[in-house]
Amino acid sequence: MAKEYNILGKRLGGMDEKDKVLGNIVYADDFKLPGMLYAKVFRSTKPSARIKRLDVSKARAYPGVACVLTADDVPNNESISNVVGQTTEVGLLEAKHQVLAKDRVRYYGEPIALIAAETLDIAEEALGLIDIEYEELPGVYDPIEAMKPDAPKIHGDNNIIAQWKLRKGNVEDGFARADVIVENTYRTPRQEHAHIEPESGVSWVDDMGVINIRSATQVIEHYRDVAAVLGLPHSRVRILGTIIGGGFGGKEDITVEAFLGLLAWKTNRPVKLTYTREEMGYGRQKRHPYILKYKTGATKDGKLVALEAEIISDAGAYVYLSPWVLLYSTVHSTGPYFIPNVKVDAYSVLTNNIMTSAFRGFGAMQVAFAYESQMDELARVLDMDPFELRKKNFLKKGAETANYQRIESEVLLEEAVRRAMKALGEKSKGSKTKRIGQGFACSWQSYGRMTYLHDTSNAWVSLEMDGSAIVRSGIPDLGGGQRESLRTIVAELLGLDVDEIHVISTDSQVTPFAGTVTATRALYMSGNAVKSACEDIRKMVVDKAAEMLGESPDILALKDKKVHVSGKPDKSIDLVKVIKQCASEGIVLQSLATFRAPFTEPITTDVIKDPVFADFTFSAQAAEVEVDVETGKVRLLKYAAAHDIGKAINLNRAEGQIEGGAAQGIGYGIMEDYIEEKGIPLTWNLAQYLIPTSKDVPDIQSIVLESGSGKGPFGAKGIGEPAITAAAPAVINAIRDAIGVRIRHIPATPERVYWALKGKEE
Amino acid sequence: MIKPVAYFKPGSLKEAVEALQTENAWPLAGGTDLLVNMRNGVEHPDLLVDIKGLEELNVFEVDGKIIIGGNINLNFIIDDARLRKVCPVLGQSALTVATYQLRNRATLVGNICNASPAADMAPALYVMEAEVVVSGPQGERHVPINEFITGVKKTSLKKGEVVLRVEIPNPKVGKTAFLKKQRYRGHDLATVNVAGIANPDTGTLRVCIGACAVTPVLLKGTDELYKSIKDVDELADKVSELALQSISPIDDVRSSAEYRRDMTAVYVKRLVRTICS
Repeated sequence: MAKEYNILGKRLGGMDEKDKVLGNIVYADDFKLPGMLYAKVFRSTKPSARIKRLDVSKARAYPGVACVLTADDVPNNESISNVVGQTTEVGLLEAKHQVLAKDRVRYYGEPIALIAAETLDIAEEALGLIDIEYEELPGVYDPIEAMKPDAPKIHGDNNIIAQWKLRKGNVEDGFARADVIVENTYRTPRQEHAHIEPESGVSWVDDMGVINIRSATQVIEHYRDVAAVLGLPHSRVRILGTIIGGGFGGKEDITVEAFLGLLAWKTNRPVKLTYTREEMGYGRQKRHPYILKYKTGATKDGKLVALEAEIISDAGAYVYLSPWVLLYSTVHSTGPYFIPNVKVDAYSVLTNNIMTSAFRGFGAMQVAFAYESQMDELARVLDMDPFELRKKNFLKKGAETANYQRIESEVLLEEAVRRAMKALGEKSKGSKTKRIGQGFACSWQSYGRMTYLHDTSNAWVSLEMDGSAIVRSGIPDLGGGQRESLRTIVAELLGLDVDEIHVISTDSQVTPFAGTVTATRALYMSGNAVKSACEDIRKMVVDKAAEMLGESPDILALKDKKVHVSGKPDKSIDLVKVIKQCASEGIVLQSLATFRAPFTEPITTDVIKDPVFADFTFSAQAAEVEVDVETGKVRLLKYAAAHDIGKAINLNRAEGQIEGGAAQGIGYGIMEDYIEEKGIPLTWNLAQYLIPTSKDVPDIQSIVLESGSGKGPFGAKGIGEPAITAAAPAVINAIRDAIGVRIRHIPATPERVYWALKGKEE
Repeated sequence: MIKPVAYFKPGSLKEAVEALQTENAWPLAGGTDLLVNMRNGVEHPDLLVDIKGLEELNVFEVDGKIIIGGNINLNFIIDDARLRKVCPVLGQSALTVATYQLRNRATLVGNICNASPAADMAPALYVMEAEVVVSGPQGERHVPINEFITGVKKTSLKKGEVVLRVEIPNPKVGKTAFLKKQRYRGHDLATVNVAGIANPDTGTLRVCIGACAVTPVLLKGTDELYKSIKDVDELADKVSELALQSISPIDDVRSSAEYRRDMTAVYVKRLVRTICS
């Protein structure tokens, strides 16, 4: 049922590209207001300590300082939330978020006080005037240590803050039937989001007493959190999002917003707060490091029969989104494979390390490294082609996952692997010291939020008198083309000029709520909402045009700002005439539509035995590497990434997501190594913490598959997160092919590969 | 934050030297190390003496001896065709320093005055037997490069002195190379860097290793090995053994000491094979 579209799926220029290149976008930090103060955050320099004394009087008295706030000045400093399905075995979720540390600090970089001053220099000088005395407390920096009963406690009396389980079939029976069993322990690192734009925003109290916060955030709904911190009605706080200079989940949790709300409210003046690059390095969340113990069994003809896994995530010192990240890990832990017997136990554990939370992939990424390493090792033990092994076990449409969820969309994994490997082509020629290897990995990644959350998205569309249009949607633009997708859908459905459609987004008091730009949900949710609003308007237009043309509405088509009659090329009417006729008759060409994601009952136990996600995107990525066996250095020679995205809305943007995801995933696999020593971060800046540059990433061959089977508009699936998931195991599998050694601890830095070659694994 | 600092742009070398004698005065050329250190609170100068306008520091000569003034930036060194011909190892080294944009500011003299053990320009200057020409209250003096860099971020510069230029009196001394081990291809500081020169006519082999001790290490006894061992692989092994006896690497976020040692062996061997065959 290949459908012809006028605009959808073509290579379109975006609405912001030129302005981004020319520097015309007013990013969060570019914004200024008269009389604006500048804020700084005073942070802990101990990973675990009691605050014996905190004296801010000198800083307060310093000329030019408008305000210094500590925990005592915050009306509601702590917020507590509980996770569904958890039992009392698990520690209480105390202090999911704390604005400022009170009495005790739990990680290096934890915010303790806020300063607002006339200039940034004064604010920085005043930081040095805050007098603090610590009494160091025992800390715990290893999640396995932290799980022991006598470990120092971070909050409450249990460091385990979430556990999730998969139980399917009987793993003992399964392993008894297995001809081969592969067992490995894998470790994954913290990863820094390293978005180019730091966390930033400006706040002010307007003439109606509303606290406005203009900030770079993926979640404008944080206005509720800010209102709760201040003890104000939700209606008194407004978040105006900006175009975001990268987020990757780093701007999903509240960042500067509560600080800005407090400072504007206390000073009644505009305030700006922008983190420095170093502050981004040590003062904000990272991707969770994991320890993954995997035991996988298969029959000699390559059928998977059992998986047993233990997954431990280091949540850092505060809970944030750790339980939900772990839930994703658990559901995705089997990989896109049918396994009849599954037993998975996953734990999220508090430590005195830097906090960890959302990051592109959201827990599905760490497990992909483990399950795809396992599949390659199984293939080796079975002496079977790794693709053949996978083919025998891929989930298929209608198959049931280990959480008893039926796959409702197409699974094009075979085609994805075939196309990606074909794109790599013949292996390049190596030498005695430079070995060449090729490898691939498959992955699955949900798009859309967990279904028990009953997610919704609203969108408002209106036609102007001249045939231009306005879309109002709360969805923030993360730089992935979120607004661009929406206006492309409007142009397609209403036959408009894409450049004449304006999208107003990301304003919590102006735009209808569309939810967060997270969880690969923006196109899926808001695309469907916009589509629905357009269909309402289209019906009004077509009905009126049918009347004016004397034709049946069923045979009318909207294109090029005209209403055409199918089969009668000479007969049409200008859209503007129809719009004016509607106006004269009091027909308002606007619609506010709501899209509701499929809903499932809330999880009631820590055993996940019900559907959790609406659907999944299936992917394969393939890499060719050159490994210098004398130094351990890995160089990527070729890279291909194939994803079934259901339907491309704008092919350029879809490929942009794939290339960006692959590059970030390659960094995760071989370069990005966030190092802490007993809770002290050592890799604060991008001179120490290396992310891929154009010299490190080869041309990425993006392969877009379109099954049309997704739950998004026009059968689209999501691509934001799926683009990153398979990259690290693809590269690691290629390294294994090149040197015959399995790297179980990423990133595969030159030094780690070198020692692995010497048979010395850490 | 960079603390408020006085700024002075002298009109002559004499004024510069005078200004540099005041309390806590620092010369400012490219500023790519100094400004970063000031922002990070590592250095706290009270006075910046901007030497960029001084003519004495703009000299650049390639005929006969090589002279590179204090204001000559690294991209200039990379781009100069004559220098590339006469002494390619300088351009090779410079190409690995930071990024293009930074190399438009960063100077060769600044790289050695910063005296990082990992300074990428230092090993080449050691093997080329460069001299540092310094001007100060007591007039001019010539300091051999290996006496100029004295420790981690330490030089033999005295109060009020400024480096005018670096001179390489005898550039046509043999086949040279520079190799740098960094974590990835994009810009990174060196895990190990090595430079070497070999001249079969004179029996001279000089090898210098950076990032593995408090200062770059110029190996002693390489000439004897070079003269006595004809097989290049055997020579490479022996020189690398000598290297391992001469270095004292440390652990940091870029590398363990053990890996640095092993990489020194690999890179010294690669270097010797490159310049001796």
